[in-house]
Amino acid sequence: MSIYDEAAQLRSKLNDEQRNPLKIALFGQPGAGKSSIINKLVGYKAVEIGQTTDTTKEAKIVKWKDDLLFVDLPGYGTSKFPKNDFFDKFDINNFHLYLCVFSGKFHEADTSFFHELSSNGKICLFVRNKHDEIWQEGKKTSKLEEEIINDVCKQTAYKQFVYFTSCKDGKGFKELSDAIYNHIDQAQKAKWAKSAKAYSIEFLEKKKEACENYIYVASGAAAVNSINPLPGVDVGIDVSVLVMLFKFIRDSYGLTDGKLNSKEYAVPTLIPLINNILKYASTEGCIYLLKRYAAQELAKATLKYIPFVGQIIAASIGYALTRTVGISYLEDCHELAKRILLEELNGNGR
Amino acid sequence: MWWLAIPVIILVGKGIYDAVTEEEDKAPEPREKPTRCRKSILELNLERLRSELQSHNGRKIAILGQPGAGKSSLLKKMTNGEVIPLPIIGTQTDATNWSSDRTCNLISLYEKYVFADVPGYGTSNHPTHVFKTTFPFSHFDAFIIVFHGKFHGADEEIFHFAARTGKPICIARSFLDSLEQDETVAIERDIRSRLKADGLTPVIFFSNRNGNGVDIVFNTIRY
Repeated sequence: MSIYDEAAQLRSKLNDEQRNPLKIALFGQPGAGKSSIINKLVGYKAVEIGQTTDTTKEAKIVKWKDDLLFVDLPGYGTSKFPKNDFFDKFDINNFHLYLCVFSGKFHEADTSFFHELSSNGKICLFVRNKHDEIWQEGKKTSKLEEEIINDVCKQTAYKQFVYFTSCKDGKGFKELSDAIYNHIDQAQKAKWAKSAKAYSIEFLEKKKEACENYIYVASGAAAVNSINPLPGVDVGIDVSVLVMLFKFIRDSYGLTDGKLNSKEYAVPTLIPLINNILKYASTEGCIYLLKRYAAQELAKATLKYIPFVGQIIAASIGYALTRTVGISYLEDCHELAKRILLEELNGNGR
Repeated sequence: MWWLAIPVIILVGKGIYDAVTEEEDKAPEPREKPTRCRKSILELNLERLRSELQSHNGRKIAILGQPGAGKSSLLKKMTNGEVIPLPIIGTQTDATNWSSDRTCNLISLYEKYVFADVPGYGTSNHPTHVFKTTFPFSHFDAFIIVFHGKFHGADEEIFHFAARTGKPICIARSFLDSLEQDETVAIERDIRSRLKADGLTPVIFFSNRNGNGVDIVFNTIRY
């Protein structure tokens, strides 16, 4: 099989992944905080949060980085959305995971929708949001949590695990994010790891792994697209793919320009890393990096391949080169994200 | 011509008999068919509420709202814990339950006030439509509609039922302690535009946790 066929496969794999995002449905009463939860999970203000009234008349669809699709379902079994149409209308059977979000007591709509889901063999996670508001005179929070769990079990008639979250102080999102990761299949796990916000170092490692796989795929695309050899390198690489790859890695780690330029991260330990990451993000930066690594890669290749005449050889070297450059950029991003996360974790601990 | 009424009386009598026997047949079944038997108990309790209100003097106030809105806590807080009997407060669904016991307590007394701490509507045991059809709105002198989070479609419907009586209504948003200043402004504006409520219907923010605003809620329906 020629490298072209292989590349074509890689490309179609890339496209497939983008076409089939991980789909998560959220349901629950208006005001339970579904939009805030989506924002917390992706670590970015992906949805506008409405402070007012139940505006969810339609399913609200939030797409995040091609990989994730959140659907905020409107009320089940209301006059506007009768039960029998609901499953067809919103294509309910095609989600990978369901989150039942509640912040008060259980409503009939939630209970009956859950029963409908479980009779279809669907997995549903229960999220008790607004943990900061759980309070009752003369009772400890732990006691109240226990009561809430018991109530969920009673209402659903199943033993359930309840994830307590608070969008105010960020409580419980590490657990919820891990739970989502653990309840989806392998192909979807990569998407979650790639695009969700990391709340732990372990999650960052998963993210790195997912990015490495992506680099592997993208390098193939970059090398085979290679039409114009870089001046002074003689290896054809499509720099635009590399620029996209870098952007992809940064996005995965949530290292947006705005974030990197913010005062919050203007600390001496982070600045050199941030500067590198910003610098290499441009086309010129990519070319600079490629040239730096080209010497290394070329040295690895046996002398008989020089000069590079055949496109196949150029492509394979281009592939290796793109991958090396990609991985080096990934390492930088990973390191920065790790330090930022450690700061965050310490900040919360204090 | 009086005999013309006989078939009617028989039919009505049979209807009552059926309703009562069916009720008793189904009553011991636990959880199996909640909609059928529980709905009836809730309806019977709502009818009993009507007659209890008639036999009491005093200012009658209904506290209505979604489950978990903070109705029972508000009642306890407003009366400094002196209302008799004390409402049942709990994080579990249907802590206040009118759907399983035909003799459960429906009203609480405090000074000259008669409070009905109504169970949250919209749970499987307390469906909203039963409140809309059976709740004795006209027997009350004032209403407090409590909500938490967002003002739901069901709250809006209940508000309109209460508004038809022409009695004072207070819309009370709980959990003030976790709201920012600008959020309260946005919420109030939204409710006013949705209910087309004139400036006279008070929209009050309060917190059961630190007691802020609880007195203001009480004052709006006190007289």
